[in-house]
Amino acid sequence: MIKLFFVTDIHGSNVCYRKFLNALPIYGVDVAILLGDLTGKVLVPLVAKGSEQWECTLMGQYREVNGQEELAAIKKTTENAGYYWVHQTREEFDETRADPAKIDALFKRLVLDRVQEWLDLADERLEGKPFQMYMAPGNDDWFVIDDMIDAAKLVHPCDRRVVDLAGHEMITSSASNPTPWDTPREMSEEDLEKHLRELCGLVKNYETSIFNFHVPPHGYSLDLCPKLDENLTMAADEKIHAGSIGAKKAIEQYQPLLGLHGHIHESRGAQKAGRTLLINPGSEYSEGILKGVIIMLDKKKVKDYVFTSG
Amino acid sequence: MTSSGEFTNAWNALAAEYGSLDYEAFKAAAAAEAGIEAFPTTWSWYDTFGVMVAGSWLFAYSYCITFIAGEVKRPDKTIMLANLFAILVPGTFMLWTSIGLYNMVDFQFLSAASWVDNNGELEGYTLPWLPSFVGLARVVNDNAIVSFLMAGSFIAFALWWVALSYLAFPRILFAWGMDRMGPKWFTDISPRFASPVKNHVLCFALGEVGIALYIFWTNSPLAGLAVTGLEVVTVFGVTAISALLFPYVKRARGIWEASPYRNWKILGVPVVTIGALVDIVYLVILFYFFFVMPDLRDFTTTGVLFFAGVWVAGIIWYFYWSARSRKVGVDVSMTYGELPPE
Repeated sequence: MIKLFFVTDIHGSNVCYRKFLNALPIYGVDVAILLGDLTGKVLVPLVAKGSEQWECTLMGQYREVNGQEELAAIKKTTENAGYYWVHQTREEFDETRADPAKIDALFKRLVLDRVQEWLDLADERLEGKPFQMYMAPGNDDWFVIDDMIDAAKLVHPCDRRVVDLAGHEMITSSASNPTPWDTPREMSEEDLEKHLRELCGLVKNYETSIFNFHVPPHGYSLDLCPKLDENLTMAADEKIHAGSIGAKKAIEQYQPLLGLHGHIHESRGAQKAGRTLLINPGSEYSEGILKGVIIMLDKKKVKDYVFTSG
Repeated sequence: MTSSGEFTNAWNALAAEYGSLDYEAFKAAAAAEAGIEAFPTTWSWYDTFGVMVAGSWLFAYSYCITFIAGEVKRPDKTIMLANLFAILVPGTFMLWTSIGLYNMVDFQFLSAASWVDNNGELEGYTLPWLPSFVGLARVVNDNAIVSFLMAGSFIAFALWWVALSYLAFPRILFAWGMDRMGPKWFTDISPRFASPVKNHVLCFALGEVGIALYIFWTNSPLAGLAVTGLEVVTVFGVTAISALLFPYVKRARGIWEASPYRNWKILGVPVVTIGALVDIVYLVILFYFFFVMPDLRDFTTTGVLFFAGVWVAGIIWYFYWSARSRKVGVDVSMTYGELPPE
């Protein structure tokens, strides 16, 4: 039997990532899988106001920061929420804000720095330990991250290839169908279906395989999210299926043992699609809560699974 | 606002129409039947606090909000406003009713009306409705539409409460299943109805058993309050204590600091703590009266045994499912445990 721990969509949250690494010995797992989206979405400039004084806007609230202790606390809150802080003078802030290209470049640097920190931390914490850790991006993550994961010492890349987890072939896809946000790895449903079928073609034994698709299959309970209006405001009374039809077709046709998915943070749950158990552990990264799932896999069946919330 | 003279005249007119007891005869007959020489003639702190047991139903709307919770637009604003109005609106109507009753009837009549309403009958009382608050309002308002709406609202609340329970309790079982504190089929969702249909069926069956026990086994109309007593301790009490301590517990500090309401303070004390303190005082009063009120005393022993039985069953249930999960390699005590954040 093999014990997996699957987490997805931590979006740059430092505390969630550290909890993920610390969870491995606590939960007693054999294999840990961290699927994307790995990177965060918000840049928080800490603008200098005077000696030991800064100002920033965090989670929609203007804040004045006085002294090193408050500064350390704000930085920690920022990192734990998956945001990226940067020190700037007033002039630097005004200059950057006026130039979208500068904002993008600054943001990208901070994002990639954190990904590298994470990989270095994993190499440090996993040294000499019995756990195997796999990592793959999600649709929100830039392609440059793939090379960074490939270069890691003890973190195994798994995107767009087949890997062996104690006799279970696992294929992983970080891509998604179109979203309202024009993310780096989204593609049309036709292209996504083609891409997924190519991946499925790498598997020799579907009966014991694991399909680790970031986007959940369309029409099951794992891809329900609030409908967005033209202003991207969530409806409270209407949900839609946002999953991929290509993923649905692939899973229904090949019937792997297990389907692991993310992408829709609100749709934590498990559901059978024929013989395939589909699981989405959900995400509450912004609250610093690590949502995951522990799965006990026998050779040809899922012995049991339990959702975790750390 | 109706005067006492107007009410008495209206009551006596209806009594004459239906051959029922007039105002003074009603009070005397109820006192004789209740075995009480005289009902109270003025207010007391004991009675004031005692009415909080029944008055707690005014806050059923806040209770409902916890089940509807985030399924609304802008929950950060909507839920706050909803909770505020869930207290203000019933509270306003309660105050209006209290002032109206204070002007209309004396204490002895009110006690008599309460006794007859709870017991369902009184020899000589033949009005075609019981003297509940709605019944007393009907005495002074014979507009057919208003009367229909008053009675209809009473029925609608009962039906709504059933619907709300069906919303909540199958979902509670679903959560148990997700936490491995119950069989896996608790988490089965019907693709057709997008609901945990098996849980709905189970809760319906258990509900029918509960109703049968209530009707055939208990002989007091107030026996149903035993459940409320259990909720006071098990649900509201535990939640109130958690809310009291939440801003001060080290391991929850990260979550507290992320709250946009962490700066809501009065004299330096977080509002959530103040609210929890008020709530705990209120719950202690409610629980005290479950033991000392004469009408509830009849089933206090049974009620306490019932409480204990539910708690013991819950503890056994927890340890059984913990052991079962551990057998397949899952330590459920860790699944919601704190993970080191560094």
